[in-house]
Amino acid sequence: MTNFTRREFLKMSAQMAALAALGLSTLNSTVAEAEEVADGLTWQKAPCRFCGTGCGVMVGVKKGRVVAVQGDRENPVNRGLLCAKGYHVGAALYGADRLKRPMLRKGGKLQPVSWDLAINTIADKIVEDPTRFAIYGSGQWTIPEGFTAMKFLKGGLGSNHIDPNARLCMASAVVGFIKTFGVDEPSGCYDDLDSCDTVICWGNNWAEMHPILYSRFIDRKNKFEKVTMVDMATRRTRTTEAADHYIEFRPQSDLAIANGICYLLLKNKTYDAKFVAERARFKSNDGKDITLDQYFEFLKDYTPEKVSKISNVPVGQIKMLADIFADPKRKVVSLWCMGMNQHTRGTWINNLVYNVHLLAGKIGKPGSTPFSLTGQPSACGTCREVGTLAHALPGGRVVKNEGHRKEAEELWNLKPGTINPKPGFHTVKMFKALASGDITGMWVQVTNPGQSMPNLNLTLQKANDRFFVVSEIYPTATTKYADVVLPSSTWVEKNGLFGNTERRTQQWFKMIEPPGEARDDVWQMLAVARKLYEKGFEGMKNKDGEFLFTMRDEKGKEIHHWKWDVYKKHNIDKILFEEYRPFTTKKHKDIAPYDVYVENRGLRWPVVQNGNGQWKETKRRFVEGEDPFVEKGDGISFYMAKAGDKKAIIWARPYEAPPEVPDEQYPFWLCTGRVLEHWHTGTMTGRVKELKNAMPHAFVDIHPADAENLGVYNGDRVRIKSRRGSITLPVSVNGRSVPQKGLVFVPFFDEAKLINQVTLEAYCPLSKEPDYKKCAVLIEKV
Amino acid sequence: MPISSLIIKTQKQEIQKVADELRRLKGTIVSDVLDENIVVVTETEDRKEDKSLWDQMEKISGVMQVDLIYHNFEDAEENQEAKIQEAEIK
Repeated sequence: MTNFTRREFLKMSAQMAALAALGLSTLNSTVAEAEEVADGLTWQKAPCRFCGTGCGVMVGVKKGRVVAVQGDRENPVNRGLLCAKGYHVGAALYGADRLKRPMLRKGGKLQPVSWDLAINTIADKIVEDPTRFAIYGSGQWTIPEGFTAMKFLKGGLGSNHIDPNARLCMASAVVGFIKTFGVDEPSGCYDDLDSCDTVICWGNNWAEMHPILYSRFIDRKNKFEKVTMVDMATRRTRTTEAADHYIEFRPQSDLAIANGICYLLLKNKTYDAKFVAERARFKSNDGKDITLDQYFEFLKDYTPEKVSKISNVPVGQIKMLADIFADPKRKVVSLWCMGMNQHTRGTWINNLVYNVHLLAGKIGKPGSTPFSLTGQPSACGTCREVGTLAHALPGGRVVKNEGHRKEAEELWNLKPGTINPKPGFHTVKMFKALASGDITGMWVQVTNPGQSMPNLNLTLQKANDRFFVVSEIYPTATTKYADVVLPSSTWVEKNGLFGNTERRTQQWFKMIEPPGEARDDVWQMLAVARKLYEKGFEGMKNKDGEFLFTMRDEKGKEIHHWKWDVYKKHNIDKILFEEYRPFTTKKHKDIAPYDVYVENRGLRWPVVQNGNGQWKETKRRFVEGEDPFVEKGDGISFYMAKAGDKKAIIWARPYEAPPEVPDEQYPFWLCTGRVLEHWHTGTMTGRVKELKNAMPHAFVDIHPADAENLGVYNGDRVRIKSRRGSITLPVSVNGRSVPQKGLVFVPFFDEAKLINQVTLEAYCPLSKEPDYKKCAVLIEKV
Repeated sequence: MPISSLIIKTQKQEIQKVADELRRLKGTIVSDVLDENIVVVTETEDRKEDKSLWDQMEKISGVMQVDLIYHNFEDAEENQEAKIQEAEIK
């Protein structure tokens, strides 16, 4: 052993990790682990910092720095594998321009100041106009961070102007779930990808956006299992390369296609009549109860021929889709993400895909489920479950409901009547209010609206004139607007809990110190809250006149957590999580005590204690034997149905054209999105040299025939112009993706090329989620 | 000098051919050839070269999938910079 060099041991560790991921281990595994300990390298679990898949990462720390990562083979999500982003997640902490000191804008320039001054400045500004102060966060907030922000604003400032960037991401999925099932979040789980025989991607490029889940399915294909993938999309992507069928449809016509499938299921009487009779009922688009016959009448506008005309999809492909769902033996998973959610009828298309699965009886069975994917690590855990939304309260409650407000006031020990019954501004309205002056101050945490908001020239136009606080780890397009910049800890520099796409709550411990003077986002908000309390701000007092965020240690002694040195000595996350837990039982989203999550790789809610005192997770909701809230004998039960009849709703949702379509002046569709190498606005992945080198700048994908008509070739520069703005980009023909004729695709990761100056802020009227996938543009060679 | 490991997935009948191709790549050690999986350990000069290696692996005929497993960048250039630069925002 002693003849080995340190690097040889590292190589052995690398080899052992790969063998372990294949389910093999040898004596050398133990040797390698022992050597790592001797070398000062320690490993701890954490969920990945990037997308909503929630892969487990083992984080290697040495001398206070993250020096290695490996896929966590004990985590059932990724079973030891990493994607390109996860592989580099450790490096994302060490960009050269990491923010290390609080800064205040003086004379137009951000200058370093003390934490005391920064916190005091924020508190003074809030006191000036508390009910017009907004918080804008994200699905990258940990669960305790989102919970703190909610209590701060809804319990402390008496307003509801809090919303997350998840409004731009999965709000349509949320409202879709609630409208159909009476409660949010997927009932299926990743295990369904192991047992399905067909995956249908509804405008979802999972090969690049959720590569670990994709590889979980493709691995089965590679082993010659009889599995089929259908890629329905408006452009060819890496997903298309592995698909058995590619169905290209006109933007927005997914509404018509879904209805077309339903029409054929009913016309051919190939729907699951027993399941539908027992588990579903029908509603018209305006919410009136209708019969199956009336629903079929509505569907007569969606014959294959009519749908083909709207969508440009051949009749044969529409029939093929219907046949897939008609086959009672077939196990089908539908996947979607931004393609369906960022849609001016995002709620409707979510409802329509549920219609298809409900009619076919393909839900609640292993391998058969509609499954909406999320883009951020805790969009589900924080935004949807804690409910960091303008209309919501934790645990599925809403501010409009008096009973819900009372419950929240009791759990937070607030004076009765503290919580404002009027919903706050949702994201697009919040930024329009910022422009109009109805919002005078805003605190942005863990997100980058200066790059990600649609129609930036409108939505950020007055941001410089308002009081803007930004908690961040790197300079971004948003810190440019900031009056105060607070340097934040991130990922394993702090304790945390995330909730992923399949309802899995995962915990991790702080492993390293944040750089310089950076501090946790939770601490930042607690410190401002305390400062407000010290200034006599009534909202920061609870019913007993104590500080709103009073916390005590196990001996009952008050913790002065607003002092950073004190905060660091306690696990404040645990205290906040335990305060949050009682909120989760109302909608049967029960979670276990904090310490249970320390011991495992996450649990899928509802998590309840069995007779032996063990905490048991739920693989599939609404399924007898799996979900503890399904009554015996019910089989599959949609027990959260608003009507109390345990039935899901099949909605008669029509096709509706988008608000802006190409015309003579602006003849192309513009679709925006992400690429494999970069995560969202690229603030972290852009600091990882390999990822930056692999994809340094934005581009515009153009169909070869359109490129020929425009007289442009790869690398030529074109201006992309809409009614709102324009940018210039290099052309890519037959590159990463090949759009349909008449459509161009531009990724939004590049801060130097803000495509959101061009996009439209139109949104789904039900979910308020903007449509980044379609607006009309002109392409000009420059 | 990052050290990494990857699992290359291929079809059984092509595994030896793929393993031979992998052995030709500089910085690559083919440590285990098992059914349809090849375990590869890489040692490269910097993370750019590391990334470039797996790009090359993906292009080898017969490679169906490259799974990333382990990445130690303790000696990579970023970690040589003991001090993170002060942020400057204008």
